[in-house]
Amino acid sequence: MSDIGSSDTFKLPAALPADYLALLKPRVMSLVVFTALVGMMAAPGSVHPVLGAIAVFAIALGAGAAGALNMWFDADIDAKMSRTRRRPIPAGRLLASDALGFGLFLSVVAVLLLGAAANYFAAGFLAFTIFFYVVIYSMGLKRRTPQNIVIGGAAGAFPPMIGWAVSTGGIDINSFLLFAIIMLWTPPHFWALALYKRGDYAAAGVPMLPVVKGAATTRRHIMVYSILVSIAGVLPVLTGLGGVLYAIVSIGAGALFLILAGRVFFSLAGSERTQSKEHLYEVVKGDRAARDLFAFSIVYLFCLFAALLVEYGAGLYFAIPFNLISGAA
Amino acid sequence: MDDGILLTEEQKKSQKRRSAAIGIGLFAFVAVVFLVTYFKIAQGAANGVL
Repeated sequence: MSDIGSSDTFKLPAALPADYLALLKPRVMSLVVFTALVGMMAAPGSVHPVLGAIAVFAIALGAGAAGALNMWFDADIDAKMSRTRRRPIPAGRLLASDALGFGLFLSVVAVLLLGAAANYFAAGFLAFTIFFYVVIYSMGLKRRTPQNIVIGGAAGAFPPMIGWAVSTGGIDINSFLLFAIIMLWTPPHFWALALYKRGDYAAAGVPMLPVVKGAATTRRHIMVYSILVSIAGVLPVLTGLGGVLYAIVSIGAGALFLILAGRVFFSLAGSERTQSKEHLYEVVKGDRAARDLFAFSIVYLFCLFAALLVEYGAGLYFAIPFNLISGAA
Repeated sequence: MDDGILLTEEQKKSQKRRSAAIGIGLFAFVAVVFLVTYFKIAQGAANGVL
């Protein structure tokens, strides 16, 4: 008989359901749900409301599964960054192997559920998105190149295309435009964050652009991508996907995006801190510009997709009297 | 033989809560599969497939 006393207890993490929920990155999931829903609503096809809701749930589940797999793979660098060190695995509340099993299980369930509720093109697209985020971005690009989020941004840009595929069974130019908006939006969004969190990324050894190429190069890249996303944001008006409301929102929000990107461009955001008080003041002021752009970039994307949701969901679509696809009305 | 992992009170509590969450998740999954099946069959019937 062995004597297993209280001093010989197995150090098993006491994970709560909330820790498993945190693995799914609920905030990222909410953006995925929102953009996928807009893609589904704006598409010309039709889908039964209950099956549509289940399809969006399946897409959300797939996004959560990808988040769990990302946390499994990135646990080592998450532990080194102040922004991520309280996540369940680096905090010691959950085993990495449990996150892996949870993520793989949810991936299979999400893909099969989407196939059953919608169609197998959308399901295949979801499977590819999970693969892209976990294998191409997390395992391949994130630790190797400062262009990690430029290419990896595609993973976050696929959900509206998946939503579109749920409705139509395929993709077209308008679903590609929704993809392009998010893809081009991703670099200025994350580079603005990386400008004032560069120390975090440097400590974790993640080659974000400000860490590898410096703040000035990053500010230039932010400006270029901000111009591109502002143009891409207006393109749905020209194809007829966006109506009057979308046109007003995309032009107004795009202009504000450019102004805030310009502020970052002319600031000292992310520059090396010096001991001099004058420079210190300028750097703080510069970081404020990057913080403002980061915060507004979220509002920008929300406004664009919300405008489409209102136009298609509430029947408030009023066509612009010209578009590139059908010509002058 | 009483060899095995001895859980602390905290671990026992969290295990119970995880078990409850798995139960709820399983129930929700069955409900979702039922709804998908029901509405797919209804759609098929409406389209004259069935």
